[in-house]
Amino acid sequence: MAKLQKEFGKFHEEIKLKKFDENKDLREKRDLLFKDLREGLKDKNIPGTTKKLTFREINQGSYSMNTGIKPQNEDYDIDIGAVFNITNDEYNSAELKKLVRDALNKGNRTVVYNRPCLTVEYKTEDYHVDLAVYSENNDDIHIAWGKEFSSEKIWYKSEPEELTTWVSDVSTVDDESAQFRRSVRYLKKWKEKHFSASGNNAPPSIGLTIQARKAFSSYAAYDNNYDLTALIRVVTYIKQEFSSKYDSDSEVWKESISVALPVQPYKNVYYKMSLTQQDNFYNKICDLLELLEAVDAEESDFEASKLLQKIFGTDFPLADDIRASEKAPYVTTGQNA
Amino acid sequence: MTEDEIDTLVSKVSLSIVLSYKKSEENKRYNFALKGRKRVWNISLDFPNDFPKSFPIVKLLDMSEVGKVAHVNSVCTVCIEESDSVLINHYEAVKVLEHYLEDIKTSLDNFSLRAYQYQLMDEYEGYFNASLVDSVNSFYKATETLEYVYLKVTQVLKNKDIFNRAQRYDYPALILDMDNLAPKNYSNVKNINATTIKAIHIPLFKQILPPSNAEKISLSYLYNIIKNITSENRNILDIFLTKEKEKRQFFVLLSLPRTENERTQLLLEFSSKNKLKHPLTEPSDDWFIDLYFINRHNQEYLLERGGAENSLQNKHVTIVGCGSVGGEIAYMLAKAGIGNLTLVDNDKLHPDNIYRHRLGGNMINYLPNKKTGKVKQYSKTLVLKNSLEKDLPHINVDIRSKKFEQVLDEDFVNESDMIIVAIGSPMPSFTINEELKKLGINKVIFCWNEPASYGGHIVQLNLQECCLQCLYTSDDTGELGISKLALVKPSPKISKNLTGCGGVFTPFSYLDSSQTALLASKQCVRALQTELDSTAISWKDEGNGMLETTQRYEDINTVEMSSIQCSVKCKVCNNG
Repeated sequence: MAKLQKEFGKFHEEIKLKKFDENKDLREKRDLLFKDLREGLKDKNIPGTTKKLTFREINQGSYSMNTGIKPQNEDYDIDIGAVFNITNDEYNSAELKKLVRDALNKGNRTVVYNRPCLTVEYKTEDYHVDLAVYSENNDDIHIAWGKEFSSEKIWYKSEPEELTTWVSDVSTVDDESAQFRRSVRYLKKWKEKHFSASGNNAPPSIGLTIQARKAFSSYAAYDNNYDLTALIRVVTYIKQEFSSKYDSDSEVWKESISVALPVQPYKNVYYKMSLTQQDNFYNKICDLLELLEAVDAEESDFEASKLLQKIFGTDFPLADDIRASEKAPYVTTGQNA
Repeated sequence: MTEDEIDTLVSKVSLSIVLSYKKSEENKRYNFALKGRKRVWNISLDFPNDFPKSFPIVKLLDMSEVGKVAHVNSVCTVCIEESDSVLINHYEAVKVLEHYLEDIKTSLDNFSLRAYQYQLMDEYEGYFNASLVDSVNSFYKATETLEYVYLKVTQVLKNKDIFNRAQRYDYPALILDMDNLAPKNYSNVKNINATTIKAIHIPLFKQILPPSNAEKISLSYLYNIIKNITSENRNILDIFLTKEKEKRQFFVLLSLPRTENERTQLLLEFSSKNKLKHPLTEPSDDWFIDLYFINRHNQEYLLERGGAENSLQNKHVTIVGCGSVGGEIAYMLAKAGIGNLTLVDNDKLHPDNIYRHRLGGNMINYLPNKKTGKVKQYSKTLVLKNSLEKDLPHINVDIRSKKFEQVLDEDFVNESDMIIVAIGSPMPSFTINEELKKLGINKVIFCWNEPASYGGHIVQLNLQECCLQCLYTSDDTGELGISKLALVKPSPKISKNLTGCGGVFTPFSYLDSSQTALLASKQCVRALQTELDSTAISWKDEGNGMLETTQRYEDINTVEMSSIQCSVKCKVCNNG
């Protein structure tokens, strides 16, 4: 039965994105942005006070959780946050977000005002930065939430650092933590190949990360030998989290999923996906599970690795073809007339 | 292989996946039970007489899996090695068979996975194709619109055992878009002597699986799948159905999406002994359902299927000179997918031309005019246009049976994406070169043959950087002389004369012209797809051995490509 642990190892090395502290280039880019932001805000006082407006920097997203994969189109995404030394009363959330936007929106940068963050795009660089704006609010962090011209512009309770900690605290066993992080990367690679990036078609990575974390902590997904076995358990767990829901528009039953953020504000991480998109997610999870089980049942490592390429793309290495050692008795040439 | 040889061969197979095998009563057929990943696959192999130079036909015997497993069609045939281009080491028959059995097992294991199911739905048409004997030509491109299509039909007698009378029924000849009929000059479509009726095109919005257990399409299956149409289309369908009177026969064109490219299409025929309401209004067991495979003629499909480039369809190329090189270029570019051609030539197609022109005797008129008695000769541009439009359904050919100099002020000159000048003679080519440069045209190709099969040249120019005359201008003295590309030295021996002064010609053959035309056409397509620097391509051959060649002839490769620089002393580029 094929396990292909060696090939999984190579695959992981191929797709793994290093953390900030291991990636000088991205770290410098992050630091430059923070430096410019400090510079841009250096003359600002908190309204009605003589206190300088300052902030502390936090890393968030896959860099801080150490679950990132190299982007397909070389468009690196840096997730960071600026936590300001203010209370929610001292600044209107949209006002502060605009202040940060205006401080950064110059030179080769264009800053787009999005709902959860500001997206900093560069005209000539192959990366963008998602910068979330927070209020420290006396140790009760809130995020500046809402689009620039929407009516919903508020301070929203958020625990970005607690989320990172929760994800990192998957296990006290190093091997298990490492296998968890590899599993998340495998899922992200699968997602990249099988979902279009447009709209909310694909499940958000944080959803997959949270579900994998739960699969390890509450479903005993860890396997001390094989990543394949652990991944099958994680995917089985994700599949079980779906439940049927009647779609009155199309008059059929569809599969739906809801997973709460494990920290404040505890909302459903899949809230943006429509029922049809959730049903599509379910079908793709079923396809994935069946393929992984077929890999597990396959006797030929080579055939199993071909199935894994169907899941992950050609970044997954083909195993040695034992049949190839004896010359194949037929080949396809492509000749025609 | 004989039956006995195959018996021996099969007995030598030593594979752990072969659980059992049994010779069938059918000639050269064996049934195998193969151990798959999760189940046993029961298959039969029909050995062809020339095995192992070709593969056995594989059939899946587990009927309940047909319609569920990808690449297994409605007559249970498993598609293992699709390509005709397979190279088999036929001296190793046992190995070939063992390898083939392993491939069958792995393929069935994989094809039965959910992740492969979209392939089965994508090949819905192919699934039925094997069992279909009838097909119908179609110029209709199915989209997501529920609408009527035209069906050209002829009347035929049906099987009397079933229909029990000499009643004639419609037989479909052609499907047409109601707003966009077939190209009138294409092939013999305008001569189809048929009645036109209407059929409903029903587009499903999602892919579906074929009927299970290899069953045929039934009315209940259809009622089930037709649920997958949008509510908007459902309303239109209901309106259409209320207008249908009772008839003995109805046609429905069914289409469904595929992951990419063309939608799946099948034409369904419902026929019965007696007049009945439309089968989609009121089901009846009296309907017989027949399927027709669609032969697509719509533009995108034909171009892609034929290896032509869809992206070239909106390009416009003007060809000046429609002789042996220009005529061949017109054909090559048309078949490469260029959608718009303007042909310019004031010459007529003569019998003299038929051995070296793309067009032959079938385009030369021998019939005298009834009034004048004269035998009319047609212009090369007209006969080329007629021939191209008869040959290809999706091409626009515009013609000017004049000298190019007379039409230079027309809009098409500026609007062309490329102008190819294939008139051969240097002096008129110089005039055109100068005029086009003045007009600000930049993409131009000049091409010509060397005499007596010594070679040919293709000069693709950005006229705003350099020009044809740069190639004929001495960089030292600025004098006009023989081309820097020339392979044969100028000589009075070159021209030939078979019938006196009026019959002087330069000897070269159809094969020479085709070679020049091929290189010119390829360069044209390349230049239309990307920005290219000015380039000269020369090809050389042995020639007739009678003429003196240049040093360049000795120096170059069989095909030589070089970049062209502007000559500082060229009088065209430097305003005299």
